[in-house]
Amino acid sequence: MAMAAEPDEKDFISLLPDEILGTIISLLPTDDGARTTALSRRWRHLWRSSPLNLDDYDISGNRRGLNVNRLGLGKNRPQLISVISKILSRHQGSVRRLSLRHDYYYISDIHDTLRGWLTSPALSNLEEIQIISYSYSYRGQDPLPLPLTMSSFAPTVRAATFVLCRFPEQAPHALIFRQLKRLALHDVTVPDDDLQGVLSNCPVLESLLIDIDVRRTPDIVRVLINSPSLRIIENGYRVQVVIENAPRLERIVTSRDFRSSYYTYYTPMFFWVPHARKLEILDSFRKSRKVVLESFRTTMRDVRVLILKACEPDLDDVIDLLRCFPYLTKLYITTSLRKCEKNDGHGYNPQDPITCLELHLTEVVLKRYQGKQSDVDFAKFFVVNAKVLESMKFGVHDSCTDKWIANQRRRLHLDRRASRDAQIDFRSDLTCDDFACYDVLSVPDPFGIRRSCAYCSQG
Amino acid sequence: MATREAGKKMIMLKSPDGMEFEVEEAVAMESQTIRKMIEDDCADTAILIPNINSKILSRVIEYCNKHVPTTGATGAAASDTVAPAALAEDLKIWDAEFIKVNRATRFDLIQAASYLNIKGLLDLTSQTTIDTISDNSLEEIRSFLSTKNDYLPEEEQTIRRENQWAFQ
Repeated sequence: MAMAAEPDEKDFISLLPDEILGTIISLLPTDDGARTTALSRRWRHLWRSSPLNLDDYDISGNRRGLNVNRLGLGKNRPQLISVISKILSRHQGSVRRLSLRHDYYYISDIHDTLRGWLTSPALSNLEEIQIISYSYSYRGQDPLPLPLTMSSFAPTVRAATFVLCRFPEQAPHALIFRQLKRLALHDVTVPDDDLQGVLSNCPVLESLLIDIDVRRTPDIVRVLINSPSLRIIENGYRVQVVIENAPRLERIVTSRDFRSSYYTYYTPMFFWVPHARKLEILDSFRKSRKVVLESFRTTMRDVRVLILKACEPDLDDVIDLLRCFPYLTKLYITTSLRKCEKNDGHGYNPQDPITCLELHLTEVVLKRYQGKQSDVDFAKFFVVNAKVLESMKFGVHDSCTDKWIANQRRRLHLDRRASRDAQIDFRSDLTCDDFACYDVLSVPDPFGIRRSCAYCSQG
Repeated sequence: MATREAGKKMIMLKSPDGMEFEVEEAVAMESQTIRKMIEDDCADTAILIPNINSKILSRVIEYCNKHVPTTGATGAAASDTVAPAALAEDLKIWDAEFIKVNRATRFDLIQAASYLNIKGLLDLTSQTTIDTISDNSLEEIRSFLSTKNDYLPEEEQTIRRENQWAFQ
């Protein structure tokens, strides 16, 4: 989004103090940051003294979709490595963020260089680290362990992502992430499978993503969570996450499609979640629904906000789910409703009412409402049965006419609504596909991925 | 929406041009700088905000007023005070309107956000500049920012060579 040139205006930006310009530069991709040195004399030394964002994808051109090998793998690898070494050795400020996504972890002499980078004094204030050691060329091989020299900058890191990394032998004792708030672990290997040991070194951790492939680390089947600070846990659904004690936990995200038979070997569930109040379900739970429902019933009674991202949920599924959450106040369904299925709610017996429909459910949002018969039936269930409903919102396409909406209102039998005061709104600004844009939670997206979407860029 | 409940603590902010602004303490504490003053008990009567004129200060207060309910509570109790979906979306739209100002004002706002340490406002005000610099050619950036190239041609060549990889 480039703004229009305003040629007559003063060069206001050059009047800003170094510190503010440094902040702006530190948020730029590495290559854009480096290029600012050539703008004018005012900018000459700023990049080198500002907090550095060092991302090897920016240097090798991957970010801008340039030829991947412009300066990266294969014969260009030495050049990439020498650029990174040069930037680090000449940098006069600190490094704010370090992201390494090339395959340094499989070749021992490069690994020595990596160790050198990670001991650089410039890293003493590092806030964010991302290490991804996936490589097509070395698929199936184990990467070399991450250097223990990470322990020198670990105390200042606030956000860390490790993908396919091997933690060093001494990790549970030596790697102390004193300020780490966000941690994502994808398919990492940990010595003695002591993941708890790693987690216990993160005393202020607020959000954790665990996505570990049990085929690679068969002994990590279950992770015990004991954390005074955790607020969000996302489980990639391949290990059991057992929450023993997490008094601040408020949001549990369950991802992955566990319809596939592989995942159903395991009981992919959270246990004992005494204080969780918000729950996101990312995918359908048909195959293992018995297990899932049973564990929800016993462990998630306190959940107040349910966000259902399941593919095409049908009403019977949702009715079963609602029975697990007696205190539910808000229900958000963010995907299309199930097509070509009867959603008439005949499976629901009003003699055996659902507690939350009787007492607590005040808000229902159906984000993608298309107005087909199955949609109407699905929505009507809530109109007719939710007795304390205050607001029901329908996300509709912006080409909908008033006539269409009036027709929908009629089909929904609003005259038979259980809660006379319920407001019914049809809105075309709820149809955005991207959940991040429609964040109903008071906490930011746990892993900070600011995915932009058509709706946002219009805004 | 912004119904002011009785008993809320108010704070007086003064700009160097003599204007006074009475704001709720919670709103003022969107600024980490002011928060620290209040927590250190340096804010008995009125807080003088140096270097920020009344025009900019009033806009900053407008921003904080708008943002206080959703970014304020981050404690464990936040689970019951979930921002309604519509509110989060409205805020985005409101932000986009708020930042439709001329460049002089925008850079004044950047400075104010930096001094007062209001992260959301600093991010918002800096983003336009970041977008301008990202992925544009040097000539385009200079033209957008009205920055004059004061390098001699051979100087610029040397600088480009230092980080040749970034100019490829």
